[in-house]
Amino acid sequence: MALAVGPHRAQAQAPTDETVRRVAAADGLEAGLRCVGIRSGDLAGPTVRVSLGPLRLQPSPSSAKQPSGAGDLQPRTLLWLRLGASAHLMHTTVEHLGGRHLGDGLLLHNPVVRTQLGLAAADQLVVEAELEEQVGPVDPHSARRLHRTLTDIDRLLLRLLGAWSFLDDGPGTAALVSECLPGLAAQGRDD
Amino acid sequence: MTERGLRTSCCSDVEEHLAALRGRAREWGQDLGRTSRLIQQHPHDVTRLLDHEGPRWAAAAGIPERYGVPPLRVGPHRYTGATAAERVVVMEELARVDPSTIVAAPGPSMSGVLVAEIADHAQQDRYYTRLLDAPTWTFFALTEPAHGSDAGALETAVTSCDDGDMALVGEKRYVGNAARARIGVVFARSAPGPLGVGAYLVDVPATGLTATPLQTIGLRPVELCHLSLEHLRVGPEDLLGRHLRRSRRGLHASVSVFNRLRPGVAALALGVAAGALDLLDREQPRPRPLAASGLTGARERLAAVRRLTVRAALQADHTGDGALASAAKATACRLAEEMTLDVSEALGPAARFEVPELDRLLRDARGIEFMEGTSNIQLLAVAHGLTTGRLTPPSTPTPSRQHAVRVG
Repeated sequence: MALAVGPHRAQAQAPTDETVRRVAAADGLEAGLRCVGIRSGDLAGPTVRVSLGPLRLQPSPSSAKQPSGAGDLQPRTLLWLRLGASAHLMHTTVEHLGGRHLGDGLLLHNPVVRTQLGLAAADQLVVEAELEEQVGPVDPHSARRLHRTLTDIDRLLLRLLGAWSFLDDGPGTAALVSECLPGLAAQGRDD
Repeated sequence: MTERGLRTSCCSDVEEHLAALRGRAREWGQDLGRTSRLIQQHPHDVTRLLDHEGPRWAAAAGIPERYGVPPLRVGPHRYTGATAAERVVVMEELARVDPSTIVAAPGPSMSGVLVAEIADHAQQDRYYTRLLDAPTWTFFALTEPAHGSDAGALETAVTSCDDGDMALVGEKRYVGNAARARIGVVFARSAPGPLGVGAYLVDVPATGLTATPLQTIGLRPVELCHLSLEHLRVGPEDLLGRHLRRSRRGLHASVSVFNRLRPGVAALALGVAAGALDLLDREQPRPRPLAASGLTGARERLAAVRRLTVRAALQADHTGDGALASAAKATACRLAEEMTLDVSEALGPAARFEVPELDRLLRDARGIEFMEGTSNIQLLAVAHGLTTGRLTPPSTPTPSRQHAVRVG
């Protein structure tokens, strides 16, 4: 599986997976996408495209096929990218809950909330461990499973963020794009 | 009726009564597909929903018969839409096509349940007359930017004006249909504590009230709004339940209303889950390797949560209690998210881009989670019901408050 991206990517040295993960974790999915050389519209299939600044998943303006073959985002890199973005979402969630009150206390200190955060963090660590453990290409079955795990983690965090995460300009949009990346990758492969 | 009694009643006359309504609602849903696609692309075209019987029924559901609204008749059965049980059946079947076809439809919706519960005759006349004059959207403004739906922490204030009138000052968030509504309810605080919260009936347009639509990831036709209340004038006649004791209106009333509405939200989630399975049938006819796609037992799970949802609605109707409703809402939302993702996986990673309805289902499933409290809040309510004896697990031999686990 390879994700087709624009021609500019081939001109630069590919960042390591660790770099991609670190950038996405620190600055979010959009920064991670830029790190792997993706610019607005590059990450696109026949029906949708990703735009950057602000990050959006939008219908493609036409049904024309997008440029392909200039560079490939490897399945492993895609998983590291999503893991980094998930870590960023975790940070956003903790920060948000640390500023919200429930009764006399902070939401962040609520045991139910902390349990959910713990679950999400533990699952992120499992994904990280599995990616570190695997040598060579990620097999498609494992990739599907890991992508689903990352989607489930992100959705758990979005539930903690409440309705804010359902707004176009909230953190839910990055999570939406993240969960769509495997599909976009598949479209790129079909190209 | 006891919870155990509700379990039994689901198998009797009630089931037949609701099955007939479900059959009719399913017929209503069958011609909604094109309008669903239209309003997804053009949310302002929601008036087109009134071309269809289902949303038209919703526009008058729950309006008392004394206002001249005839009940729906299906065979020997009659339905007024005043009960949670009737609403969940219709809501699931319409949501199966698109939850926005019911949530974005005109009608009494959430505020109507509150009006039916606590408004005096004059307030009911004012509210229902408005709805019957023309198809009218309504709104229910409780949630606030800082504290969400935590009504106890509500900050919108009732202030006194120089001329002796009162005015509402504050902000509300995530209020569905507010920009197109002509009447609605705003919760505000006139004094500290739970008894200081009241619900005010507001006609719009009104000076001091601005509704700004928010761009959302899904459920776009519902047009969630931010509400600014800048000295919105209200009078004593606007305070819903003014004839009641303080303890019977405001917060108490909102809890009761949510208990009655929550099964409906569960039904919306069920509709999304069912819609995902319908889509799978259309896009990938059987036989298919369901076991490999995580969809093993999907229909059985759906049927089980549907049964729980109907039982929760019956409980809300008979007792006003919301413990079962919380269980139904949490499980239905989980089901909707899981099934939409499972169906997406079964159809292939790029399917959501090639089948717009699948993408909509995946987005809508996320949005229903935030209606009437998130799953974590619902599960806390379930646990509270369990430990106070209001909810008895199926294995409990003696459903008795005396045997309830006491905590705190």
